[in-house]
Amino acid sequence: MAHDTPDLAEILRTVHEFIRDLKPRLGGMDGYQALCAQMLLEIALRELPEWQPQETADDARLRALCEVGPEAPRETLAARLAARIAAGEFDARMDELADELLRHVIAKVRVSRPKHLEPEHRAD
Amino acid sequence: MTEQGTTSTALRESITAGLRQAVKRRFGAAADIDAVEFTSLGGSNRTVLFDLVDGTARRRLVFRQETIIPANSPFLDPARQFRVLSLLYPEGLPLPEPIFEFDDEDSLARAYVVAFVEGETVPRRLLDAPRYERARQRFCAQAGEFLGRLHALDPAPAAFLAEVPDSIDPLATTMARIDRWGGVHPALELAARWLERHRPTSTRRCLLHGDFRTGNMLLDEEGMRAVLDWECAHLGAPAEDLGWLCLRSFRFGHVDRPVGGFGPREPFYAAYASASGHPVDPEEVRWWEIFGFIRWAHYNVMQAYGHQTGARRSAAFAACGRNIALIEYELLMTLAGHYH
Repeated sequence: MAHDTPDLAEILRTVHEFIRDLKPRLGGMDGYQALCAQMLLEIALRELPEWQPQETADDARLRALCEVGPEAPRETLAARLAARIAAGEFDARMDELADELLRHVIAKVRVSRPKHLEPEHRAD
Repeated sequence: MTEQGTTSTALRESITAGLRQAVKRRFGAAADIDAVEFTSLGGSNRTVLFDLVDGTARRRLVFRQETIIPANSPFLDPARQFRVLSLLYPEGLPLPEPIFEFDDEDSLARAYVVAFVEGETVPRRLLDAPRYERARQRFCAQAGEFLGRLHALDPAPAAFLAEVPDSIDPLATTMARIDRWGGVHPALELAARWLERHRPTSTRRCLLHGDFRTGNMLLDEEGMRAVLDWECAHLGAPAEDLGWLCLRSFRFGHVDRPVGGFGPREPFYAAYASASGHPVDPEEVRWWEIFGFIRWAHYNVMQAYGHQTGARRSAAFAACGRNIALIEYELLMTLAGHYH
């Protein structure tokens, strides 16, 4: 599914930069562990392109709301939906849309910080 | 709270020299500065504490300087912040006394100096530490009284804020900034559409603090001492300031206490009505809380954008990007009536 920025690669790069900047201030075993952590993140970054994103239930939800099929690239779905909402196309069924978008947002928070969700939203 | 390790020695020396020069220009050659402390308080603003020493007199002051000027900044520049403080201080409101503003003949720019006020700003300590129990008991009434008094002032002398985009249409302005900074959020779009179709009809316009929330005010054991962070001041509907303080995102773990994590709405609204002469419409405050989620999300979009574009690389700013979903969740739960 499409998450907000930073995407996975950017998250890895950000942590890599943080460790790079921190490393000179660490000594001994901590410095060595930081070096290893940096190398692990570099491995993950090189390996990442081999991983294909899976079509998720949330992508299907956004496709249904946008009334588009699998031909529409998944990264365009949120923008399509936002444009339709702004144009007033959902004005007559706001409650239904709010319910669908709550599920969409729950799917995002389950990845970004699941503890922030009410217990009944943490799993299906 | 010092960040001596991350502020380079050369930078510290040049700021200290600039401060000393500015003080001597204004208070005479005998005046000097002492006990300079570089603090990390404040996101995109540099904050330096120092003593102004003049003969036997010594006074603790705070130097505030804008260090990062993002494109399309949603914040007032220091000159207008200082103007707001200068306008309000004589009214007797609890805020730091403005001392002087830097000008073209100073070596430091985009900066001003205010009086130091002793107290605590960190939300978790204010909301949880036993020593602030009395301050917590008083908070809702004090916050209501503060906003009531602020909003009762004639907004005419603050007309210079009329051109600020947030004074014109906060909803349109905020959504436009999100568009410009990138990132698509259908949930925010839904909320914007809902707000658009349910706009409040009240017409009262006041000078607003604009960022009146837990974390931006200084308390001691006896209660509110000073309201800080005036960089979002603008003209608008008074309920905007009330809604922002009650935003669920600013309750710091105390979600059952809607007024900034301190307490219930009733004493806050009652104190506001009594100080301003205007009763509070809870539905209008709710409208501004829904708006507040969009606004809080938009600051997170701004930080993520700053990181993504390389303007300000930082893990903390990157994390803001993934914080947006949490705000969207609270927004939709509030809109659906599950959260209050």
